Amino acid sequence: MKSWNMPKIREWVAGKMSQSASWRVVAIGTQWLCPMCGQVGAIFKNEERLPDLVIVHLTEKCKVFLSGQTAAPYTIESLTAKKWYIEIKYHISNDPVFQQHDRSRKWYCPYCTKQTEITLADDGKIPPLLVDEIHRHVTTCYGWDHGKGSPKSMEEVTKAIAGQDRMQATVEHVKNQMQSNPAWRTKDHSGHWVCPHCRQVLRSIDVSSNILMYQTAPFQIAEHIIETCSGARQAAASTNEVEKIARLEAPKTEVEARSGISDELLESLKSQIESVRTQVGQDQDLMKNLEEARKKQLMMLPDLPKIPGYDFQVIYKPCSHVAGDLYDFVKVSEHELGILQGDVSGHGVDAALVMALSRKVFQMQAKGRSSPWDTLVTSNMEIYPDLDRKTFITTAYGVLNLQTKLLKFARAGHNPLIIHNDKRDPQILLLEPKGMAVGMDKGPRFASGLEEVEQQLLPGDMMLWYTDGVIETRGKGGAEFGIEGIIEVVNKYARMEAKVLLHMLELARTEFQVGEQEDDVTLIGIGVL
Amino acid sequence: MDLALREKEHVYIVEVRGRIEVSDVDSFEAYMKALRARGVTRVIIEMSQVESVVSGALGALMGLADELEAQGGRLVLLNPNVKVIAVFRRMGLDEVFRICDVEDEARRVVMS
Repeated sequence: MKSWNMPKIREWVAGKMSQSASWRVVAIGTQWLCPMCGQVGAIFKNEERLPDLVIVHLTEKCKVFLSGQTAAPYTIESLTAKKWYIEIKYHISNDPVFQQHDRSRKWYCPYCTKQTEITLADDGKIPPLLVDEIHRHVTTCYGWDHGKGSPKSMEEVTKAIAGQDRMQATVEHVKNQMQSNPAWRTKDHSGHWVCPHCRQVLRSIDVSSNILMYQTAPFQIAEHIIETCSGARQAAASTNEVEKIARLEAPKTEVEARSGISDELLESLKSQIESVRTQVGQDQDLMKNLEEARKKQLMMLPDLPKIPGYDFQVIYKPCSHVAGDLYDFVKVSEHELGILQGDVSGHGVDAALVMALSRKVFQMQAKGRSSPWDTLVTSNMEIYPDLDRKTFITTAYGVLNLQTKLLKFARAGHNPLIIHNDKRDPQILLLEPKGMAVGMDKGPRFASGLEEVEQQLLPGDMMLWYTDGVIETRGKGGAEFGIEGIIEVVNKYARMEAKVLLHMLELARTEFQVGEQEDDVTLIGIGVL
Repeated sequence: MDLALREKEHVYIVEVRGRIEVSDVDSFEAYMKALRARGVTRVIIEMSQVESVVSGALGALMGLADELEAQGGRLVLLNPNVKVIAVFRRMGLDEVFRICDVEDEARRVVMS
């Protein structure tokens, strides 16, 4: 048996443990991970005893150390991944909040409180294969957030499960009704659904096409029935009655609807309306010009590409008459398509002018350049001199080879590109190369900080491009919709057509929004078929 | 957004509180212009009380940093929260601005 110079080893271990983070990785507060062999090297209760236990492990059990190696092959990243695996496995076995499932036995993640595709066995046991699946979900879950998130309480998880069970049952009920009862398929002249229970036209539920009616509407209708329907407990109206409601052309004016209000209030209301009318009259010329500008800007928007094997969709929603958001599709070469999204700081007329200028510059610079880095660097040099120092354009630009499906992508201060695919692991990919916004620097810092990445796209991929107006939408208490709000919708609807995904995302955003829309909103969805 | 100023040993610390919106840019610029007119070129922006910042407001900060550097000064950001740092990162500005966690360090950097 080898004899060790223990004082020397003790000093060496103490040095490593004080200087190197990879020598201090501990799982569930008691299990020390050895950076030499990557195994749990010591289990301790009293931290003061840990150095002694580490020395015992190294000198008696660690095959790597005993082979004479002194450099630790395991990095802090790989050890942290092991620590997370151990901790998640421990919680699955010991923590009831990690063992919850709904009626269909789908496992619920305690971090995001969402239903997963993981089905638990009837006996409630969780075999190693499922532990791996749960680990995979958790480590890619936005609620877990790379170890920074905390699991929710049992009350929150069971509430989410009860809500999902109720939602599933209601969606099934709605689907059955829509198949069998014409009253449930009734829409008004604009394609809005009419609720047979509360007898209201619901402008947020679009059933103008079959795909919207049978794929997306049942979820919206179920939400309506559970959360807002004032007649959910009443008997449903007959088909004739619902169709009559749908045919009603003009809704009552506010004054007609409030026929019970006092004369004084009515006079006050009239006076206010008159005052607004006067103000509007004064601003009429300006409004007319802005309306013309809006029409011209909308006319200048590019057509959606119609390319076999791809599904392109866009939602473009200015917050004032004219927008500072831009997007474009540029033919870079015979087989390459440039996809551009930008967001000029601020909004309104100033931003719209910068938007028009920069779009033209990007178009000119993109032609013949396969590298997004080249296009953005040259565009920045062209645009920078024309901007004041507080105006900039966050830009995402990709060049897609339509034959090989290889996407080259660069991001100048813009939001990360989201790619979803059930066949990918993890299912959601964020492309987030570094780069500052166009117009913030005249050239050197912009070019040196801009990265370009490549991503091979696969059939089933859904790309989502979005501007700040989406994530910075304010809800109750000033909360932001955030990337979390987007990911939630992507998880639900990215398997469907791009049109459905964008529609549902914009619906979720507007439902979240409190008050007026504060920024322009642009969504681009691109499905790879 | 609220602004407050304190000075210690020739370093000016601007304490910003609340949410920074695009509509705050003009008043922020006017405030900083008035400071520069007094010859102030070394500035720490104390951000621990900033709840959130919209990306559209960051151009003003970039412009200010450039102007201070052109006058031989420096701008340092102190202690922004995780949410604010995420906006800087998204905008590619986390490596452009010097961001410090503690005031002593910020003072050393701004005086260097």
